[in-house]
Amino acid sequence: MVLAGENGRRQVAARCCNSALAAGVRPGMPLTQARAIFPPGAGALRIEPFSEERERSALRALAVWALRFSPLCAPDEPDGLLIDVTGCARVFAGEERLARLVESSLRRLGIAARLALAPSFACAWAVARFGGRAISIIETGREREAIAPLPVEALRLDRETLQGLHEVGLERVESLLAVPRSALAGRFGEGLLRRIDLALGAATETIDPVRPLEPVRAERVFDGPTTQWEAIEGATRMLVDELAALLAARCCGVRDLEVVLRRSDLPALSIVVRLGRPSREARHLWSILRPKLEQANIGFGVEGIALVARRAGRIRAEQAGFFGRRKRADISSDARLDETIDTLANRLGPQRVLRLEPLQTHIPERAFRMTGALEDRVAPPATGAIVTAQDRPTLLIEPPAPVRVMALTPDGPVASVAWQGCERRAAASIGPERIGGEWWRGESETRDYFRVQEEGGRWLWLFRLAEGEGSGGGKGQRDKGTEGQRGNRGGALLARESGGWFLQGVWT
Amino acid sequence: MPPLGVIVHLARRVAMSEDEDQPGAVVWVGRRCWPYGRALMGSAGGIASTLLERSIWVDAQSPAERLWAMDVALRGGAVGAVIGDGSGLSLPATRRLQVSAQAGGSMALLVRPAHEALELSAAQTRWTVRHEPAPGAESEQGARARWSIELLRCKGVRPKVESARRWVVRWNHETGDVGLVADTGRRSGEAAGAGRRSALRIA
Repeated sequence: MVLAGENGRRQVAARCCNSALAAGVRPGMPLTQARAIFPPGAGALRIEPFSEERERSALRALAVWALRFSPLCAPDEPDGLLIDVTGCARVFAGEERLARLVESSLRRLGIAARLALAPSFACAWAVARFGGRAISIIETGREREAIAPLPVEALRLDRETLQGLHEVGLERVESLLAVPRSALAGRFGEGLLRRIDLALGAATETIDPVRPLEPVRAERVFDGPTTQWEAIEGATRMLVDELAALLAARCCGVRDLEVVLRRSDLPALSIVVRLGRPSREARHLWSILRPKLEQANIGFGVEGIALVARRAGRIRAEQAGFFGRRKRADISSDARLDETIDTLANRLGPQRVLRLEPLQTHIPERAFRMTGALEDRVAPPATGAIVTAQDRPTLLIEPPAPVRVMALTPDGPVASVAWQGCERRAAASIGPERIGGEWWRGESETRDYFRVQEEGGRWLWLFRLAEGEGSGGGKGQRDKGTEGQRGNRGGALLARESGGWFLQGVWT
Repeated sequence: MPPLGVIVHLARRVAMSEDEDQPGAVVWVGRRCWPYGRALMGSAGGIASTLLERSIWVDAQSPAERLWAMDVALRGGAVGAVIGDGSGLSLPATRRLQVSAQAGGSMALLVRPAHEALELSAAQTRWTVRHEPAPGAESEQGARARWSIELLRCKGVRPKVESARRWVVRWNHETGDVGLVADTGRRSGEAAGAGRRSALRIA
């Protein structure tokens, strides 16, 4: 497995897994060279795009995971994790067992790691990367011994200092330690001395630990199980108010609100309410929660209720009302529209309150896609639409209905249309307009569209499946058969019965 | 079939209104009255998709569900127009919608099928829309769908002259709306496929 990144205009292998490393792939190697190492027949090389952002967030997630070992964990970019285990070793019965536990837990996650446990972060950093063993533990006072045989790179120095050290032949830390401090400071600056002090534990280093944000929650526990609706309602309304106040303090609103009903003798019931945009309006939250709560099966009674903001989003600060009074009209009409959508979607279901999004295709029935109105909109709509200057019906029939059509000549204007059991003469027939199938999806179906006006004045939008372009006239019969089969597989068209004519739209 | 050409025109007027106080969202309740998305966009060069962006589609099925959804949308006061499939709605239901529309200050259009033409309704105005044949042979480019719109009932007003309550409109696919046709009123409407619509309009 190789992650491909870019270095200038070249594609390079930014990161690679152990087996790729064993095969000879190195980070920074051009991607083509990495491909050459794995011949195509072997097929073992998997290449995925490399993203610094994703790497950073993965490391952060790992730091949060490591909070099980110590309350102070920090990601150390690009590939390290700093864990302050001061005082934690007792819980895990000794430093060695803690180190082994961390290593085996990481291995279970599929992460190969080298660990060092040392009195200072810098010392552990150096030994973990440049010491030979998978797990090394350095006792207090033995830092000098531990880092002495390591190369000077282990001190986390910048490139210029490293180059300078190599120039004067200082390759190992021990030779560096032998040089008088004043000489080092004069030549390489205070930075080097500080690095040495950090590694030896003479200076203290601080880390910036991750602090995962607990979801906002509010909870009430009843004296005993209750089945009274008034009690449940009252408690929940109080909780909603409480939650709204907590959210206001954090300047955010809830997107996914979870209600947990702890029921006696039954597993806890969890109801999740989704909102189209973050809200902390207690009245609105309650109006959505209420119908859900009313329908909830409370069994033998509810022992406790908890409200958890599973997903929160930032909302801009709003002007608070004076003396607690706030008029309905003060809320912007966008916010009120979102509240209406929330109400509709939470009662009917999120897949039944929709928005329409144009897509980039010529095929009429695929030109629009419905997306849930609660979803975040990814792209601004109408960017991908293809709009032809042709007239399109106001109503689309989905799927196209097979109709019987009489034409005076095989390719001439339509004379009459039979649909829904009655046949009408055509007063006008305009067309054809040809729309080809999307060949890049393996469709060869071509349609010829006609606008046909019935005698009564109604306009219909009909199409006829055209013979496959490349097949020639003589093989028409067989082509129709394959078209029919393809249609069946797509679940849309039955070409044989109707002679290839379909009604797809009406101007109504 | 619902008279979608005329409805799209009215919805567009709401969505494109310049009035700051008037919200521009349009809610379409019930699959039966959902138009094809292209009708909302128009086919002129620049994509005028304001109506498309401001449309919310609610797939409510039973009459009770549709009534509830329309009611919620109207009472929220955040939508400019609610267009609903009105089939199977009773007189009390239409009365409730009339009250909600008045409370929310938005327009409600109920689309009712032709066979419910004689059902009672509390709507402010009731209209019927029929397909209208072209007056003569049209050129290929100029041939457009035409409808005749007739005002059946308007609360508090009794139109005296027959011709003053019947108009013929013509579909303009470039802008996605309808325009009045100049020579009006001579032809008798065809009953074929007539859609019927009662409208609740609040001034």
